[in-house]
Amino acid sequence: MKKYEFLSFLFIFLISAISIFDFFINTGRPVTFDGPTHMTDIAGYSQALLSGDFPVYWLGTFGNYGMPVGFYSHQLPLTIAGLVNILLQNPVLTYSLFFFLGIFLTNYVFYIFLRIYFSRLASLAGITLLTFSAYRITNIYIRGDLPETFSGIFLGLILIGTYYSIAKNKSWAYFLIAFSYFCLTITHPMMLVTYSLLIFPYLFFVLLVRNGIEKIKDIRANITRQSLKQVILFFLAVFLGVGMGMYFIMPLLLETKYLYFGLEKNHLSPQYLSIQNFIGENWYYFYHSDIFTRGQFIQIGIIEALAVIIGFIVLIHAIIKKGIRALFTLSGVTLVSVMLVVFFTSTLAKPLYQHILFLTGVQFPWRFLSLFLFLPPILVTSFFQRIKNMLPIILFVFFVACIRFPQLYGKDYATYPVESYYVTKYNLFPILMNPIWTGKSEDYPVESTKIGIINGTGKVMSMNIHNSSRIYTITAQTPLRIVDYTFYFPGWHVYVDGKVTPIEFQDPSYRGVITYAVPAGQHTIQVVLQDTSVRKLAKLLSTICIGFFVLFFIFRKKLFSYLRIGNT
Amino acid sequence: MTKKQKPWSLSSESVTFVGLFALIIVCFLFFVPKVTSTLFPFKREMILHNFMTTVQREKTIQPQFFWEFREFYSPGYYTVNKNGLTQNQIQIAEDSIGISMAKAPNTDIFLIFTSPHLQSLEALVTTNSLNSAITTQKFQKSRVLLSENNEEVFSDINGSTYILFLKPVSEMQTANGFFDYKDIDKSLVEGKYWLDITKLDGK
Repeated sequence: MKKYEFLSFLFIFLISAISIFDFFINTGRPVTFDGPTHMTDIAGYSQALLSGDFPVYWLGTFGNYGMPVGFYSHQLPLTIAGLVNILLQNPVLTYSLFFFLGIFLTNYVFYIFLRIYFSRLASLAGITLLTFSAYRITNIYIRGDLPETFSGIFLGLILIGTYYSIAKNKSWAYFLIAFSYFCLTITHPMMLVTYSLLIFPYLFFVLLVRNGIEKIKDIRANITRQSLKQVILFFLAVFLGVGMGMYFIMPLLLETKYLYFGLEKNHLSPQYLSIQNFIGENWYYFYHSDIFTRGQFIQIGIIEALAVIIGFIVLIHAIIKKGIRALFTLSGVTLVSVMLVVFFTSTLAKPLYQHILFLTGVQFPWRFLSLFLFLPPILVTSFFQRIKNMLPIILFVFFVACIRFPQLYGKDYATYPVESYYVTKYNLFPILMNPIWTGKSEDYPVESTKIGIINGTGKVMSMNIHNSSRIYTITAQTPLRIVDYTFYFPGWHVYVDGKVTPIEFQDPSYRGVITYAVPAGQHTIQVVLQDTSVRKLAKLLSTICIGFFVLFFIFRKKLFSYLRIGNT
Repeated sequence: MTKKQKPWSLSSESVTFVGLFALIIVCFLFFVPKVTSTLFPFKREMILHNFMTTVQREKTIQPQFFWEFREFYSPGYYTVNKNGLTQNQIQIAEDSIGISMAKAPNTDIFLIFTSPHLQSLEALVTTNSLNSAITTQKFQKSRVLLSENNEEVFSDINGSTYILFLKPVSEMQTANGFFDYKDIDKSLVEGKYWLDITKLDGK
């Protein structure tokens, strides 16, 4: 059996590699919507980490005078990729490697989840569809969405944790849930919303059905006092996981108000899906205004659409044959999730987006497809579970390859100097992500040094520049006004000989840039980004939650035996 | 003979795995577009034949069609500098294509496409005539496939195929996304024409 599991591992490795092979056989990088920004972030994180910044909030050479990219970028993949890039010094290669890693781990973890319910080969058929799903290909070759792809790892882990915590009563599973929620929070908090449409229906499915039901009355038997404890513990694990990510999510929620982005209450771009997006298979090299990138046409894909249609037919047939208990299957839960996704991607959900503001964090209604791509593979796996003959599985894999392999290509590969990833004049995120007191980054002159004397006579004797701090020694013959070519953001402080000096950042000639006064004489000046009270509180909350996580883990046997729950 | 004595005996799961691995690799070789055209000359022939047939039928080179053809006929990469490439970069590309245009006045060479079987040079020029931008007489043409105003496709006696055209920027912006035509790069492209010189290696 172990031989076959190893073969499955190899097969998943192979198809994952094929899905992104184009990145590795071509020179340079393909044109995608977000890829160049992620590559530049990776380079910036490398520099920040090398400067000793952790967690990374500020990228000092991004957008001309530095930007608070760490507040709104994807902490987990970028921090790890940043570390790897310190060794590789090649942001394009690092990006490609991390894309592969995200795809492979997502596939393998989801395979492990499918194996809880289904046979090996049926699960591999499902993973083949997941690997080459239409939305995944769009994410790789058109959108360049590394963090969204990376997030998939944690969905699989949460589902595995949910099963083992509820159905198998394993105490370690609660820690897996907490850890996965933590990682998901600091990878892509929007996915907390989208993935919920599967996680919570699945939680209630496992609670009611546990290891399967013969009769509908079994459901009632499965609801016990222990179930309530398990649900409470599940949600505690979720809160603990999200709590551990507070150092990222709190500034994201409370300090992006200093960016143009924060001035908008509703972040939703109303790109709802219609029937064309759900039926058919449409790929474009050029599409409307998408000239540079491949045409972005958001779609679920013909194979996925067929899987859903057949899934509904099979379910209705099963309900007619076996009664309502047929609904309490993994396919049944998956189809509920499909309906929720379709609802949230369509105009039907418009009133919800208008009234529930946190939903608008997904930015595009079609982002719920980040969950959808996992649903048809579950349905496909369940179809093949019923078929004893292996030939249909091979034919299905061939069918997927015929339809999707021709789409495995990147457009307009081009080479750029490595330095262009480390220093950027433009804010590669839109101007929306600039602090509200600044103008367009590219409109500011590029300066070769961080410090400049605006008024007075003096000389900079020494300077020590880091990503989010600098130390200067200055000899001033007269009182000086100095500029630090850094965009001001709350948390930046100037100390002259250890004393706090007021920052002026609203001088029209230096709009949004740090300027300050220095008296005559010899001085040591420190300009440094420090934590605001929000960040201090956020880090404290994260530390407390991480402390609880560690304590609970150490004393898990005592804790769970006291609660009379779990099997360590 | 017992089951153990049959070394060739394979369980259906083993056979399925062998089938899956073989199938995936074969499909990868034959269906992934850039892998196929890199490995198999017949695929390149098919793409080229389709391109030539279309060009001859329509008597023009559609920019989007050309851009897509170039990338799939022989996968490669672009070297781009909107403000002009270095002399060294241009020299290497010119040697590979077999032309010299660096000294032509008012010619900003901004793009090179490099691949095993196809090389391209693109420039922004002020002239509106292909013959003024580049002299095509020095080529020893053996077969002319298209010779229209500012568009030429022909083979030389060595079997190499040349695609040359000069088009207004309004057509360039339907295919070449390296420029921001409306905002940042407006001044670079205004009043200019898009010149493309492409050479496909002989068989």
